[in-house]
Amino acid sequence: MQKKFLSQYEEMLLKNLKCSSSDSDNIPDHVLVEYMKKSNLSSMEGFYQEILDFERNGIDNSEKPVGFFCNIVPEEIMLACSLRPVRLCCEDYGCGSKGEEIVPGDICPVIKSICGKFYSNTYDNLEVVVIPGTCDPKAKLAEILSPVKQVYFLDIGRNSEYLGNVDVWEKKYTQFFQFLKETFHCNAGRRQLLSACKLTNARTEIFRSIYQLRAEQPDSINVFDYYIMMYAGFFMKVEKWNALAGKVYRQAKQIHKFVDKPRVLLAGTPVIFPNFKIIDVMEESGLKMAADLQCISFGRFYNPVLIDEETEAGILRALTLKDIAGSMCPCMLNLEKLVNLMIDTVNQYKLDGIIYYNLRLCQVFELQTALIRQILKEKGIPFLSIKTDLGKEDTGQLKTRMEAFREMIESRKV
Amino acid sequence: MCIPMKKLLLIVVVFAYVFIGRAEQIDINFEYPDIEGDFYLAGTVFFPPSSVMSVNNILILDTSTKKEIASKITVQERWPDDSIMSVEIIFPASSQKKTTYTIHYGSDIKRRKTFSEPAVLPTISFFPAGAGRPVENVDISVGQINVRVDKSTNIRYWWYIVPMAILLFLTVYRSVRTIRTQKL
Amino acid sequence: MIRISVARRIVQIICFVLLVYGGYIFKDWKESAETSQQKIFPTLKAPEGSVSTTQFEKGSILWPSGATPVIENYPPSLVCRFNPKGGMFKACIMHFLSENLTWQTSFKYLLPYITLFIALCFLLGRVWCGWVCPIGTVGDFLTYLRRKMNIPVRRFPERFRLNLSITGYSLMVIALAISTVIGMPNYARFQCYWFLPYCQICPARLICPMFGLIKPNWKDFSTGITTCFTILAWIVLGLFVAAFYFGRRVWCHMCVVGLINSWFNKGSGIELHKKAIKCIKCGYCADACPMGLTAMYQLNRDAIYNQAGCIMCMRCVEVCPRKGCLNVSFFGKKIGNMQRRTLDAKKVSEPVRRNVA
Repeated sequence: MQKKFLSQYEEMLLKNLKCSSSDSDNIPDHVLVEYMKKSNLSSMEGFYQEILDFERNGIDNSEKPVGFFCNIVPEEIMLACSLRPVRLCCEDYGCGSKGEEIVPGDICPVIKSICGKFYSNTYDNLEVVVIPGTCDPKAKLAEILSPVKQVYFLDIGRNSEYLGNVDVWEKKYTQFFQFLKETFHCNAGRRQLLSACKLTNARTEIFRSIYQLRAEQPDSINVFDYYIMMYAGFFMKVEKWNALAGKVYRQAKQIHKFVDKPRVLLAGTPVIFPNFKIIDVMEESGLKMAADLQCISFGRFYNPVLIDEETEAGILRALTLKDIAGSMCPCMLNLEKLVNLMIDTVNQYKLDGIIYYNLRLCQVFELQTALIRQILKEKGIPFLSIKTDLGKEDTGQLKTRMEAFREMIESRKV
Repeated sequence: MCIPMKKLLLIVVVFAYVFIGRAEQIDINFEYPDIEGDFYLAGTVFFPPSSVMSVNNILILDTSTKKEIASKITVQERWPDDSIMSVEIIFPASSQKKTTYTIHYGSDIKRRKTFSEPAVLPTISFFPAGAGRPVENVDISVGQINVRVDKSTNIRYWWYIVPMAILLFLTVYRSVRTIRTQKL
Repeated sequence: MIRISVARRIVQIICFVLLVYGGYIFKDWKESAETSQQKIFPTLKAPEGSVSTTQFEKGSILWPSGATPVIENYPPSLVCRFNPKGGMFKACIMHFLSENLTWQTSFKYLLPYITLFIALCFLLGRVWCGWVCPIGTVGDFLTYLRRKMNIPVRRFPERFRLNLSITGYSLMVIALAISTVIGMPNYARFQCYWFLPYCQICPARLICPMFGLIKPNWKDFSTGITTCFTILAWIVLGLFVAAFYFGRRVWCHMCVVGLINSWFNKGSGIELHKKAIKCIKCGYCADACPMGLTAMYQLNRDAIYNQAGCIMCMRCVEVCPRKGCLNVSFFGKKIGNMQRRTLDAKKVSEPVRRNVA
């Protein structure tokens, strides 16, 4: 079992490191209500209600919640141990500024927000936090959070080639499964894993239908509703999410709205509630986000678990393939398939362009921008790279760029 | 895991080598006659070059009891290296026992029982197992040279070479195409 | 549409029943077919007085019981002569070759049979291995048992698989050489022990009769050579069971009939296509391949991915999570949609078409 990091200095650290905690920690209701008004689907209310409950009451600890980051951490294993996986990725401006008391200001904004949340005791109910070794800040986060919470560090190789690393991943997942079984004294095995995979596969099926529907008719489920659904998927129970999303899909299918605006593909850093700045600006400047390639939506839900060997090891291996080998995370060496996927999605759904969204200070997303731009330029696909942070100062400037991009697309069409 | 497979192959080869060198049996084929009582079995047996040097290295065994049967063996022809090419074997058999017989030969074999024909008994000829004689062919054995005369007139089967050639050509053509797409 | 692995299981079971029990089911038809097929196919007979017709009796290790009628044809899968009552067809190609080399049958009589064999191979390639072969079905059943017992699969390196096929080719060469040598007049006396040398150690000789309600000749310790062959057959059977129980289709890299089929695999009618731009390199195809082939995963270009080792089980096509990435076609004509039904993307609806236009 994995030992606690920094166990010798735990008390010293806890004494001095603390963020100021206040009542306005959670996202205010009016932000959510604003988006709720824009929604044209009555069935979306369930999701909004869930998020309101979550923001007000925090994580319900009746079901052993386990926090995790990134798709690399397999939800199915946690579900099999009858735990409740809660994804903690967070892009909250308020929490970000609070986190600066612990970590320096010019690092990844996601890490800042997470530190702010943890050191102000928002996530007290979590039993364990699972942190994957995807990018460098995440790896360090394991040590930063170690004094406050029990941390499991899931280390993986960065080469996403199946042939080189799949055995290593399988071993890591097995260790993780073992850790959960020992920590929570549960007797999970093949059967539990299989039923967990069935659940997530059902989720994949619903997500694919929604993705398809949005790609064809971007206004059937509007972009805010879409990302609200993805955000609700962070902490909702899978069965409940499936049921609600199914309802939304069935209602949205009835709507046939012909959109005459440019439809674009949004790739890059995930858009996590409440940081909806980029999609706000996109809507305002008349671009329709029809498809996305982000890790909270496409990356998380699109690939199913396809089990070849129905043994415990076989299921764990299938999970590694879904989560790591098939991942779009720029931490891995997978630029080729990301570009392939962009081109293919644009061709398949006849989209008009690609917007590549960089959250400032995330190096891995920024590093590959130049390469992607070059390739897409050769292919003749309009490409706009946008770099911004959690603050709202540059909204006007973004809007100007988006509008210029829209005009460029429209002039191309004519 | 690679090493045991190689060893297995080696074992197969060694077994094959050892037992090709040791095989030294010929089975005797004949049909029991209707007569009751004893009779003689007589026949000509060919041997490969340099396998038998003397008539004393040949013996007849009762296959079931593995006991030696007394026999009279006369050399008919010899190979150029003075080893025996063919012999004529005569030995007594009985209709009551209905057993089968085997000829053993080789340098390790020593014949102990001999006999000379004391009584006048019917003689049945036998032939050694393995001498191929297809229906439509006539094998004319002239010692070392075998001449096979094909008497059949049925040549329509040769026409199958046309579809076979077409299929083989298509296979090769498509294979080349497949490989070319992979190596592009 | 039915899932492809389920379809494959159904086809495998049907073919197993036909090839192993067909003789019992279509007894009369088999006898009538035997007489009628002589118009097209010549009868292949052992030469008169040859050991292979007279020597082998019921107790012998090589008792092929030639008296029971069969359809004298040789499909490119492992149907076995040693399952005479249940078997519909005569034997596998390896049996055919070694038998006729020993009998020194004229080539013109072999031509019709060889032509039919090549035609079948050309049409379907190694589909015969993955979908029809009864021994493969038995092996897949062993694999199924292992999965039920939750034992993880052993994966073998590429080098090992290469060595297996080299072993298979060596066995084939040795067996055919022995068959040729014992057919020569001066070596005819060896026929009583060395007739059908590959069949003597082939696991199908023991397994097919076992399922075909006939007691196979498990042992023959009468002489040194038969003892050796008996022990070798046991070793090979053990390897076969181990290969299928611990691996998936490891045995098929070594199977001689499969190796002969694999010559036609690249040019066969069934083709596997990959569209490289759709590939997201998830590795499901490489992981699911029972033969452990990775070329389809590794290469990043649009091509026909027929490989010598591929048994065309189409498992890779089924598990591919991207629609349209892997396709199967028959002589250039695409065969349906073989992916999982639940994960299919739906057809593009009407408003979008307008938008696109």
